[in-house]
Amino acid sequence: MRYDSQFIDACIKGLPLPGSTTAKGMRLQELVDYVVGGLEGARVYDRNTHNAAQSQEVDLWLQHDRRISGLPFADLLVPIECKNEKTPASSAEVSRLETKVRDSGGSDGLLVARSGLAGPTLDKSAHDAIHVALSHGIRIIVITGDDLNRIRDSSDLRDLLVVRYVELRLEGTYRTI
Amino acid sequence: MMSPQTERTAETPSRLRAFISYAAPDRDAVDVMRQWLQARDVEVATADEVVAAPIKQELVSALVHSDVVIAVLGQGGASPGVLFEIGAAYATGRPTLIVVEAREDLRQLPAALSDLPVVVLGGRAAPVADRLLATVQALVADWASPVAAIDAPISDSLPPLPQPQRDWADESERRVGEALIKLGAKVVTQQPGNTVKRLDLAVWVPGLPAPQLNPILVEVTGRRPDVQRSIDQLRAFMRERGSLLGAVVTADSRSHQWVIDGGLAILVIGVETLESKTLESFQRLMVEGRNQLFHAPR
Repeated sequence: MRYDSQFIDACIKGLPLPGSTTAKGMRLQELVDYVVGGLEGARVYDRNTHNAAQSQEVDLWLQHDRRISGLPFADLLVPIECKNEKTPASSAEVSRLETKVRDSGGSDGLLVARSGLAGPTLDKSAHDAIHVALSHGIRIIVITGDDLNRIRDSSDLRDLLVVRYVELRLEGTYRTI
Repeated sequence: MMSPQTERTAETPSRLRAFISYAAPDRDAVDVMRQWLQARDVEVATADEVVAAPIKQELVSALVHSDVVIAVLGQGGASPGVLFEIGAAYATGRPTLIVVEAREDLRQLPAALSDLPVVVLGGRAAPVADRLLATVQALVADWASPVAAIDAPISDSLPPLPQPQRDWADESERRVGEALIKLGAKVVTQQPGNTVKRLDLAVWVPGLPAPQLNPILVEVTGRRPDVQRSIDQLRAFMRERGSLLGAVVTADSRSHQWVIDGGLAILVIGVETLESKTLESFQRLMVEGRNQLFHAPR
């Protein structure tokens, strides 16, 4: 599916605008909802779900048909976390997503971090947390705001997710982020 | 036994019915799952309810009257009975889901089951129950809208996309990487290259019949290869990374050979042979490796 580039450009321009953490998060979430919803054999099947204790929220849930989608996720249901911050996602944010994936009995999570990942040279960096999650059997695939700026159709997004997944499996984290 | 009129079809607009296959040591986990599913309006059947002989006929009937099969591979592991029922589920066209009790159990899954979706019970009860139900619903919905059989040969209909410039470690790696890119594979190089105890390439081959077969980890040898050493090194990487298929590519024209050992399949192939492959013939080669792996003794 060819994306509406005007819509994407407008969303991306709006990402750095001021607002509460929730309002900023919702702006990125709207963009991710749009691009993920355009993937063949995939859909966003739930938004802003909380656990029973209201202590954990998942921004979006992706559901895909593995026979069609060509996505690298083994799980049919994948939680998506959207981080629209000017600072890179921290190790704590990666670990929180890892916990959400684990708590729900899954193995795959998607982190959309507008400003990438903290590190890699920092001790306890987000890259470290990605590596640790993988050693626990949890695969966190990461895409960034720059990535969203480059994709123009759904096959671009699918290919990006595949390459990031392969990179994760080879390197244990991401050299390209 | 149910009447033939209740046989499940894609159009059956009734409560979901799940058949849970399990070994005796997993009964407690099954009781919990039964409660979760019944609380979410899913009917549950198990082999315990198959009482009349001959069991083959009764079991097939129970499966045919279910929308989905949930195979529990927990403390009981992959017991012959569970494997038999998974095979019967395949044969009767029922979508199948694996449930394991702990994340560590994933590493013990037989390779032949690697293409099935998995839910791990070891999380928090409510989110796991929600995922279990949503996965069951997704499987049933997908089954109701069939696509081409996943094992069908994949054509080269998707042209290879332009790929970014890469930093190949050396000429051998460049040649192997470019041969794979020409097939339409997505190739990621390890950096820095040519580092001892690090792998050379990871490759996503489009159109493989199960996503878990990707990525294929690749070790590229030099002019005078110690193939056995490369195989041993690659095997260690594959275990660490949880991959099923790997390839050692030598800088010569040797034909291909699969080495199957320890639940892993490693292809040894010369770069000239690799360069002669089309995407379709390479996919067939990977499926050949998968088939040998699936039928290898554990």
